[in-house]
Amino acid sequence: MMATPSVLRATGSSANERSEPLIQIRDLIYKTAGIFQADNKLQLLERHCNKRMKALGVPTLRDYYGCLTVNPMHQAEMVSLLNEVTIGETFFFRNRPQLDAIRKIVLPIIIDAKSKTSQAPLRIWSAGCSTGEEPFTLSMMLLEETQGTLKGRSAEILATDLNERSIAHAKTGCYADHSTRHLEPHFRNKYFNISGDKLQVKPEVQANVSFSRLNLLDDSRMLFAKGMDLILCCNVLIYFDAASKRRVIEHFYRNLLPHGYLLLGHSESLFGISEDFRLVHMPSATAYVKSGKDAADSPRQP
Amino acid sequence: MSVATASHILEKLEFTRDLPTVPVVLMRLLRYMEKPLDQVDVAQIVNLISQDKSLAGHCLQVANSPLFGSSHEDEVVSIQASVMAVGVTRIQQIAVSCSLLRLMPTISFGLNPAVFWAHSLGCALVSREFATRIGYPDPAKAYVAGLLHDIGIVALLWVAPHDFRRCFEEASRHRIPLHEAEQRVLGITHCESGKIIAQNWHLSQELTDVIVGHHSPAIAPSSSVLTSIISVSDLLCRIGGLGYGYSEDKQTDFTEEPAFAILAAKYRALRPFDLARFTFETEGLLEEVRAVVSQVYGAH
Ligand SMILES: C[S@@+](CC[C@H](N)C(=O)[O-])C[C@H]1O[C@@H](n2cnc3c(N)ncnc32)[C@H](O)[C@@H]1O
Ligand SMILES: [Fe+2]
Ligand SMILES: [Fe+2]
Repeated sequence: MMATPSVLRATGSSANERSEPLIQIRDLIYKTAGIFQADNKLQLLERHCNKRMKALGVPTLRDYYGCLTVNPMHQAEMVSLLNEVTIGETFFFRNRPQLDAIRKIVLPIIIDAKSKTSQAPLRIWSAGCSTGEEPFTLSMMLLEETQGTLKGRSAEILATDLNERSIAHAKTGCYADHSTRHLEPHFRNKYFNISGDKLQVKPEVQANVSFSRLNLLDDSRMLFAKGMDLILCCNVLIYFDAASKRRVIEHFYRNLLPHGYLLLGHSESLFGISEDFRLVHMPSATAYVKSGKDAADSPRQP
Repeated sequence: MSVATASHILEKLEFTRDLPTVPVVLMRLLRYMEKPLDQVDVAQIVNLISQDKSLAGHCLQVANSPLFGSSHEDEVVSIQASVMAVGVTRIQQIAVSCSLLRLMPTISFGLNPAVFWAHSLGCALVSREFATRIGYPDPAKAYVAGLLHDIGIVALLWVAPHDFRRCFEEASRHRIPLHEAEQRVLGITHCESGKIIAQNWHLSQELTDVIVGHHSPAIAPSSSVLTSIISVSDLLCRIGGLGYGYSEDKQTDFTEEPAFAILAAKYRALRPFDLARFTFETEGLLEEVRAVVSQVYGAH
């Protein structure tokens, strides 16, 4: 039993007493990548670290923290650790609370704002779409809502990624088990054809989505994705340093309409990165809306 | 019609004799917890809890969960040992939380008792963490206030379970806050019923203020800091999926919440505050609350 005699321990200390270097690594990841591992995810984080430690032949977490900070290769090691933490993967319906929030809260607000000003189609951008599961998930959701929330308004989804091979895959619309493991029967039956041991997205789902290769750090090309109602950039910015993040966020700000929304991946935050957006909460999801000069309405009184 | 219902309910609360008496253990614990730490008689607390076998059992379940920072590897099997493991302050917090179980109805009138207890426990923990984070001097008080803030719901369940069910159905159907539905359906909210209970039980003025004012912190009397902490924490719990069993389909901007503004004016730590990070931490905490609650209720 390793309990300290703590009969008079003060209250309110952080929930769990976990190993010091692990907490330091958690905080370092949050500082450099903006993605947070809650206390109940620390065991998992430790497993990811152990994997990297084995690869490097480093014995303790404390030494490994050194690899992530003082070691000359520390930036490269952080990328390797992030690859473990975020697992560069993607799948259909990855973040359900976020999708529910889009469907029940964000879309109605956007459609309401648009109905006052224009007939233009709803424009959504999946920035860092990887092999296409995210934009196709959105596309299916929009098809479900065409007559409901969208009130018949058409919708376009721009889906971009840096990785050429990913974009090529996305264009095929053909997916194996791993990607489709969280797909509900309703969507599986309605929007997919079986093709051998894979699932093929139906043309109607593909029709809304246009794929193209785009580096989010390519300033000149970033200027083109204008007039967006909603931008999803999930599990992408975690790989960027603060300066690059700022640049990308500034572009997003300019590319969004005044009522627009920016959504990040689960547990990602813009704290300390941008004042142009303000955080809003929805059930089990967070989102960013414009604050300041270009906001839809300035809600805060001076 | 709703006016008649309102006064009827309040009258019933004031005058009825068949309210369950407040659990003696709860009252004693609340009193002990008001004492400064160096005057706490540990043996007295251990005895008080251990005497009540079912309470002690629940306390051990909670004390052995990751929720209360028990880094001990072996399960603690007595209240005495759990005091060694998690500290006397936390054992008191665990015990007041578990004594609330005694007050819960055993059947559901819309609101599932386990869900309500989870909300109370979650709000207690989030309040304590939030209080600590912003520099409020008495996080333990925030814990108790968070735990009891919705005691008015329990009161409604006693005297008007079927009316309460109507409120709950209205709230979950329209996905609106429960107190708004209560106002619509009954003309009063659990803040008013809570006030009567708080007075009956002779709760401290501060706790009473929280119970009365947590949905309108800007107009609460005197102790609006504590009320505001609970108000923010209550919202965070409801947003984080530990509300009353349904999700409120709305967008919340905390900077526009009166409670948040009250606190920001007072605490530097909130200017600015990484609320995103605190939200993610809260999500983790609430997941653990869910696990403990299903354990306690599973073993009921
Ligand atoms: C983990 S995947 C995210 C996929 C999807 N958004 C999701 O959340 O499931 C990260 C993607 O970001 C892309 N990416 C990384 N750096 C990028 C950049 N500079 N510009 C565009 N995409 C980038 C990668 O190619 C990869 O496909
Ligand atoms: Fe309440
Ligand atoms: Fe509440």
